[in-house]
Amino acid sequence: MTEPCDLSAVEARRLIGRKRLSALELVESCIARIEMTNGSVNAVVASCYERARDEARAATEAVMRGDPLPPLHGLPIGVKDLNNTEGLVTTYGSPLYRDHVPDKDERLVAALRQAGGIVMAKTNTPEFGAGGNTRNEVYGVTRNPFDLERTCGGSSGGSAVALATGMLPLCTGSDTGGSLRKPATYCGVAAIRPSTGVVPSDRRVVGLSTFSVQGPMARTVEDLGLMLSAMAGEDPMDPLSYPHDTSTFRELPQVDLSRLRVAVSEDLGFAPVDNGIRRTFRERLALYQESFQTCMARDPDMATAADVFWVLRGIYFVATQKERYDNHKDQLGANVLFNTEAGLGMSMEQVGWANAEHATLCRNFQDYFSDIDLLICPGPAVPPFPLDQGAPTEINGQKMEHYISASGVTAGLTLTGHPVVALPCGYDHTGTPFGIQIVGPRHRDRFVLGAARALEALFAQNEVLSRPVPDLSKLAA
Amino acid sequence: MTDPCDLTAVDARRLIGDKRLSPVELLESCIARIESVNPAVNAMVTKAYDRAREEAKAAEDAVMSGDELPPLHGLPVGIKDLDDTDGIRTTYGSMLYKDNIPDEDEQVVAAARHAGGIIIGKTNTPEFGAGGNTNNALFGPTRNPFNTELTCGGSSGGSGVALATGMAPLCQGSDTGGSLRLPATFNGVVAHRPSPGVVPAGCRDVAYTTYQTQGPMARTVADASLFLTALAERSAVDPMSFPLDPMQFLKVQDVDLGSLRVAFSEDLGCAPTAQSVRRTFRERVALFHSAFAVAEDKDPDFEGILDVFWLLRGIYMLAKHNERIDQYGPELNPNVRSNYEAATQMNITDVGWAAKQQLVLYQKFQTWFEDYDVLICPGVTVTPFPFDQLYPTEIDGAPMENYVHWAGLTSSLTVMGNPVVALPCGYDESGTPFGIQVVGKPYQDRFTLGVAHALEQIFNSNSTLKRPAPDIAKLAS
Repeated sequence: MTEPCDLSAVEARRLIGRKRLSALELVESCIARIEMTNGSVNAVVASCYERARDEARAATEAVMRGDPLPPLHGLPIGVKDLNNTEGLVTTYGSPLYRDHVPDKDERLVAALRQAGGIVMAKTNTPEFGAGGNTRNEVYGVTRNPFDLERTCGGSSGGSAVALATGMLPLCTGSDTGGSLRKPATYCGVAAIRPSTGVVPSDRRVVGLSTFSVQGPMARTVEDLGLMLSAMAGEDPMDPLSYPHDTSTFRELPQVDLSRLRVAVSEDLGFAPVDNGIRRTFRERLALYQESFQTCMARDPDMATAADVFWVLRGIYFVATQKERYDNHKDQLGANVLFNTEAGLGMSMEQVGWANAEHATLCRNFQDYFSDIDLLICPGPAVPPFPLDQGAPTEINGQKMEHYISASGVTAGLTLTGHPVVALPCGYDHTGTPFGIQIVGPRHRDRFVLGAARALEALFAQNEVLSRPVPDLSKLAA
Repeated sequence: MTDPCDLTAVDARRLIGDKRLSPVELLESCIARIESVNPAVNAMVTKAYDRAREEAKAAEDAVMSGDELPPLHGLPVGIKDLDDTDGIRTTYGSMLYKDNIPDEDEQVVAAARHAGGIIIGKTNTPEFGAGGNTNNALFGPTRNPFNTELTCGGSSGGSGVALATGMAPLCQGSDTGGSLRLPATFNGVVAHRPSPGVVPAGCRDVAYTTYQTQGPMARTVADASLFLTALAERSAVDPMSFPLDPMQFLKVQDVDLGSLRVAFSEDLGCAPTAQSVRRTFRERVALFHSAFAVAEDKDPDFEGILDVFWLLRGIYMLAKHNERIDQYGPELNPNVRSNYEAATQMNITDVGWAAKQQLVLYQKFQTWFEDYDVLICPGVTVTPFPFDQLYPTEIDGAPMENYVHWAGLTSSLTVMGNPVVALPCGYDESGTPFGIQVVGKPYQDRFTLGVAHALEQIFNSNSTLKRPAPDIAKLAS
């Protein structure tokens, strides 16, 4: 029998509205699952069970009274530990904030609670979100539920693992170089990195940037749409936020795959990608490419993306970390130190070049998209790497220069600001989940979710393509 | 009798649709006006009469055959010489490009054409748009039509003068530090600096920025709004563009001034502003502030904003000129040279701080704005200076740090990105036009235009406040 915590969010919400599942029952089921599996994976790092129980009781009363129910009514939510949560410890993965309890929810969290979500737990992240392996000095490492000796990806790793193991039906994530997409694909769950401006943030440090985008993570695409409808909106505190109707994300369009013109790219034409991943990508593609109207291999023109990303990231790190670097250098972790120092070493000529090149790259990407509907590429560049490794050190024998070098296949897309859905697609050649990225035209988030849902339905019918689920009994043992 | 070229765009368009004015007649009237006054002011530096005549004839045929007519059908449009025009010389005010004939329209030009506009010619700009005085080695200075010894402002100076003298009913401009608003104010015309992304542009040198914003210039607010209908055509070429219905601008929103809360600021708390401008502003405000429900003198907290503007401008100058700086000869616009060199002396810590501080100030400003519907301040900090002066080197005895420092009333608002309408408001103390900036909340372009339109109606009924018009006969002689 399915436990309530294993239901999709849409299904759980439907049952709550129909009085066939109580919010408290769902919260208790999630708590039980956390208690059972978190010991082996370390995804949830802080929790507020009592408040969640109170809110669940209130949610049940609202149902029984026949109140109009908001979209996430009674659904437990996991919040990445980079997001400020009122009354719930928020460390950003940094020892500097080990005891930091915000007195205010940040906009995103407030929006989720406003929509009826029950914030129940914080999920682990590397220090200040810097890194593709979810580990930090405060809470230690989060493990991949499919192989406890390997990484769950990052930086939204705790969220991905919590979803994969059924601890929570919905979790927040955020993404600069792939932090929503990499952990989603390593853990067999779904995520969308929305178009810039769709989900406003009041905490991004640089306002006019495609970095640090917040987005939903879930087990199904429909769940992503549901959660996105509550996260999206207009907020004058975010200069990229614009007026739009967010409720439409709850009604994803029926997308007919046979009418789509799809470009596929193994490496976006520039990113280092492991040969095993390339093979897996090609083998899987062969199983579903027939469903599209056209499907051709074509790389976008983004040869300079790795360097552009690295320089813009340097500016971002200097903007974000310079003050801490000056005052608390001894308490900053390796990635943050390394990246801040790399930024401080960049010249104005590089800054100008990267900005100009970024504009060119965005225009090239529009040209590329002028006669296709979707781009599909691999989710990660490598299979999950060992826990004790900060980042992949080499790919196909080629040495990686720094901790971001292996992230090209996700970071390149960050620069474009386009919506990207990360979708599970069976297992990779090493026995951990494999996933793909589905990229749509800018601001057509709804369409790309619709297309991802159609693919998800197709994948569900084929055991090689369907979403992997970890063996919970092994985790509980 | 009014010459057709002196009609507002809205009136001319209505008469065209009504078959009471032929596009050919209108075009010939504009051409005659250019031929008579341009020698005195030098606003229109490249004329595209032949093709314009063919298009006007075709436009007339379309009217006569009862075709559906687009919003700008048959209206002559002037394009700033920074924007590429297919088949029409485009020099960017630079000797390097004196024979450059693009084979493609820049997005805003294409949009104007799609909407039925007829490109009549190119309007003068300082080389690469760098400066608040419209002067360059290739075409020489554009003169203020109210006093030909004074500057018309810049960098969209040619457009400002062309409108003031009736050479065209609509002209396009662009604005980094005030380049739409300075010339609009100095020439007694209207300009709208849209929120970022409202007018998609393909020619920006930095992908995500509030700089280099394209916008409409006209003689009335309704005309500017009509033109915005065309310029806001959706295009993915601009990463900052977002879903929006341009037709919302076709009719100006009715706004009841009597229910508005308005903040008035002489200098935005940050901009060096001449006493004479402050005096004129106070005198004028005294004549219309009672139209509002609440009128308060209140400065926003813009501390350090001019430094932010200068540092971010450094990135933009490097992005724009990095590749070409060595090709430029000694005749290069001294503003470009000095700005580029200053930018190379900046460092990443400075620009990282500026990127972060831009958001800090933005969030403070939008919070401040919660108490008001619009903010009103003077259009320019000084009265027009001599045409052969590069920029004001001092204001009331205080020396300026660089060639944009004097433009703080406009450049500070650029850093914010809020929509701004520049609106004529009588004459200044030196007998040239005076103007105000009406600043709205982010993305409230339609509302801001509505406020400006309602104010314009009040100003029209008062001889001290109404829009100045130059003495055409004097310019023609």
